[in-house]
Amino acid sequence: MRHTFLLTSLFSFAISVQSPAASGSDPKEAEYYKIESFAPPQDCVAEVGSIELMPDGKIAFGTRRGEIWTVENAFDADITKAKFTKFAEGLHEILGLAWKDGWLYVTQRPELSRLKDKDGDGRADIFETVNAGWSITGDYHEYAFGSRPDKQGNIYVALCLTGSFHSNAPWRGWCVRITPDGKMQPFAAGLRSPGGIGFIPDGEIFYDDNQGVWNGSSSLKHLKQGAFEGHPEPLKWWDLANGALGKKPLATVDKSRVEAERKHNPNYVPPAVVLPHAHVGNSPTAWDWDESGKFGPFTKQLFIADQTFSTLNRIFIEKVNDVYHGACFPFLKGLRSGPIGVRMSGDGTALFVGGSDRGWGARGGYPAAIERVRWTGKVPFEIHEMRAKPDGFELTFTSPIDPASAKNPDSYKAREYTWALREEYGGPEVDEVIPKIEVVSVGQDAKSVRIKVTPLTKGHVHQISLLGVKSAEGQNLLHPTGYYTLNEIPKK
Amino acid sequence: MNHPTCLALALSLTSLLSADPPPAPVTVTVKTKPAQMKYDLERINVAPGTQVTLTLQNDDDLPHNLVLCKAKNDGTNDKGLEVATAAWNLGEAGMKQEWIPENPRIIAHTKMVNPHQSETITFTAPMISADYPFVCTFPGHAMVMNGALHVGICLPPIKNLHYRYYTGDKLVKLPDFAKLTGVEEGQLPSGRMEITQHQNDRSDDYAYEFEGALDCPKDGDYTFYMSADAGAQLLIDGKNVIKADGPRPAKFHDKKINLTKGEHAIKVHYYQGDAYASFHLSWKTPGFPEAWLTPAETDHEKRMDEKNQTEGMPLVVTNEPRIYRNFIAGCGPRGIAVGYPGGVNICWDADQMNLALIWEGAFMDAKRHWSARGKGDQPPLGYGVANLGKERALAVLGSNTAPWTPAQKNDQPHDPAYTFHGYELDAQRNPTFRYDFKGVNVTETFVPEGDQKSGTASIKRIVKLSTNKPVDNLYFLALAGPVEAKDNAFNFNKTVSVTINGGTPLARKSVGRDEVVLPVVFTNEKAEFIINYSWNLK
Repeated sequence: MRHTFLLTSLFSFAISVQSPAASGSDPKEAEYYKIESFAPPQDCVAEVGSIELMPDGKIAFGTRRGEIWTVENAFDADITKAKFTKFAEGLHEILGLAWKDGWLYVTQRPELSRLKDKDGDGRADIFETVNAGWSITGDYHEYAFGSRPDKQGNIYVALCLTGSFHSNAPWRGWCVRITPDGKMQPFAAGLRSPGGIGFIPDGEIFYDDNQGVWNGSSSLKHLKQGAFEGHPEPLKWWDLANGALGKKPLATVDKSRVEAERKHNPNYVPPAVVLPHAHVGNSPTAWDWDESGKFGPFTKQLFIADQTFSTLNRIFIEKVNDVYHGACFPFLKGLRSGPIGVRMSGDGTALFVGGSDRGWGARGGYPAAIERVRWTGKVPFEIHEMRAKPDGFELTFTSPIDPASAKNPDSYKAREYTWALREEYGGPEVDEVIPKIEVVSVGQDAKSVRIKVTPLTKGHVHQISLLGVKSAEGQNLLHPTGYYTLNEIPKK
Repeated sequence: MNHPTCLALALSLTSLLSADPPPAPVTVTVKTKPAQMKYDLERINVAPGTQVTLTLQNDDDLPHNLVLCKAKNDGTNDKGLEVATAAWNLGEAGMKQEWIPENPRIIAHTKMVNPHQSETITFTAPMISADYPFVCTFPGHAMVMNGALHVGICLPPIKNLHYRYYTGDKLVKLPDFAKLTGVEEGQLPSGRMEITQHQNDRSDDYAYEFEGALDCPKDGDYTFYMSADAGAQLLIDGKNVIKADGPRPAKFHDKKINLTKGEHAIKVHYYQGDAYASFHLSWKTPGFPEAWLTPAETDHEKRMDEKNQTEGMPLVVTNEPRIYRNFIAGCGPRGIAVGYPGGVNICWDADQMNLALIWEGAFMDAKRHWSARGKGDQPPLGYGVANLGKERALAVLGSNTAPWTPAQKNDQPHDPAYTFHGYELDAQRNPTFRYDFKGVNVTETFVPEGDQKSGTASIKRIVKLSTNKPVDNLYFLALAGPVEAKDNAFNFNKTVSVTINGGTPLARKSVGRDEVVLPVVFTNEKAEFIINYSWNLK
């Protein structure tokens, strides 16, 4: 097994000599997005749980071993110039970092803390508890994932259950909001095993939940005040919110469906974007997005990591009838370890990704890694956006398509399916529908196509593969399949 | 190393000796790990009566020795701590004696080996099957720097082991061996599968097939452990047992199968693509320790057993306090352990907002929490643990005979009367904890004094309270548990002697237990207690 690639290797794609590449890099993807691994010093076990950009141009990352490291020269073209410095240690499983008002906010298992280097020696000396209002029974699964601050300065914390099934203490299976003055407010219930929490470009707060009980597949879910995300066990703490969240939601009905549950239970929020289990991943974690355009054509789309697959997926999200939904697409394979922390640089020149495979295993095969992904400047031929329409979808592309191939309905293959909401773990895809696809039109600029899909099924994932659609140059799509979670059908 | 792996069975020595030829001599090198206070080899396995030639190669920047000891008189394995303690107690004479005390437990020892030097000794392993601890007796090293010579009977290696060597082109997965043409074949009389025989020929793109017979000593379940880089497949009696195809970094895979007593055909297909090559295979059955079927490399990541999952990553405290927050036995899920230079440690409980544990010696072992998913509570690594209980430190009582306030329960909502504010490190990196209770601000700072090695260790706990709205009937719980008043001190649980300054301690019996409580009296909006815990029991 090679740990550094040489140009003389059997792999034909070019890769820099000094940067060890991920073991599973895909040569086709690497033409467009290049993964480079940092080489941390020997005393740094980079089991990254969260990454943040620091105001002085450094990046900071927190680890599962409770250390925080800063990296200078993280943007240097020569990745070996990166310089690692330990900022803090002795914390408890760090899964959230956020720089705010001169403090580094740290979500760790027992609390939201904020750290400061008061004496200027490069190491934190103030470890102030902002809020420690949630309980822990001592179960390893009781993780706490923290967001960055919203516009009002609130930080949201997603609290994993006790194990997979139970909420043995307040507020396990909840999202809580920590106000700038350190107060904890219960925010939403019914979470199972969050892997990441954060915003989408419009400022709304989301988290992703991992496949398991009441979650047939992993998905990205919208959090809003008083929302119920489907796992009934955490509802037992509802009354501790003292009425601030309104009426207690009803427990999810076993073997129900998303659509049925929405009708049954007004607080229930359907998964916004399902990350179909085993199709695109197994265990989603953190995400971020680019607004600069310097990371390629996918401005304001989410790049979301999958710990098990050691991949990044891409999410296009839209809002129809006040409900979020959208599509996910495979994006990039071959990260070294199981990614948990993701942060896009402000200038879009690098997406930092780091993680650990400890306890669960990841395809990457390395126990820990801190890496960066950079756009090579070459635009991949990809589905750019996928929008719901009253009778089907509109797909746009990153570069012009061959209209003849796009007009041929045989170029498309589709399936629609969902999962039962079950108190058992996971579950099979159910209620499969094979729809009919008709091509309505190809855009005049040859960069979009309107397809009619009959029937559209609310609550189902619409998996559409554009296997026959070619670029103007005759290329295949780099990733031909989109997975659209259709919660609402737009009127126009 | 090619030493056999052996078993501690209470077999009759006479039958053993008459049945077997004398064991082959064993040569072994134990290295010290730089900056880790550890031997790289913590377990050496030999047959009874083996002549052992042992080299201690000191790669560290401190002097170390290796002292092989008999088991403790009561038969327990104390990891040589008793002998190491005798060495510490030599005091000044220790330097002259190179920290080797006169002690009947010592079987053999090296001299003190200076940094980047080595020494070789030869000794005969004892005839009685047991674990014989070895330890570095340089003061302060023994808690983490130890290992064991395991004397016992072995699972055999492979009988009649043959290999066939192949070369290929750009191998990225296990090839179809039937289609390969062998370059060379031969025997491996060691009975261990070696992939390094042709390493001068090429480092990439080769494969081996190994075939032989496994002699199973009894009917039963056998577990095989295999790791391969790039990939390998293990077959027993023609059936797949483990397949670890590459290219992946090596990881151990294990599989348990049932085998009958007697010989079974074993076959392994191994291939190497490029860069790192490694192959490790071992086997185990109940009653026998794990035995290698490949040359056992000491520097390779070993498969972890339950013990290894919780021991082996000691957090060494050097010249400043070290903090470790985690699930700590005797404290709870919000434990904040602090190890101070000089060998005194505390664990502060951020759930109760109170001191939970104090102990001497080594700080914490992070292995449990930094391996796999990190399940469970880890106890202190040192000794002299005083378990002060999971209790609130402050409470308002109706009277000085009222029972103490209930502790925070892990599965209950937090009592909003108590708020934890974290800690701040001073210039020496010593934390001061801060919380408040009903408008009273409380800080706690710990100052270690004396020295663990000289038996004078103690720790001073400074509790400062301040408020601008004094709380009536406020009490501080100094001790709860077995307390024995002695002169001006309290002996707590036969572990530490406790003195209290700055208040009027009230010893009482409450709900069936001993307590020492302090009424909090504010002067100019302030109150202060200094509680001293000493392991030097009066």
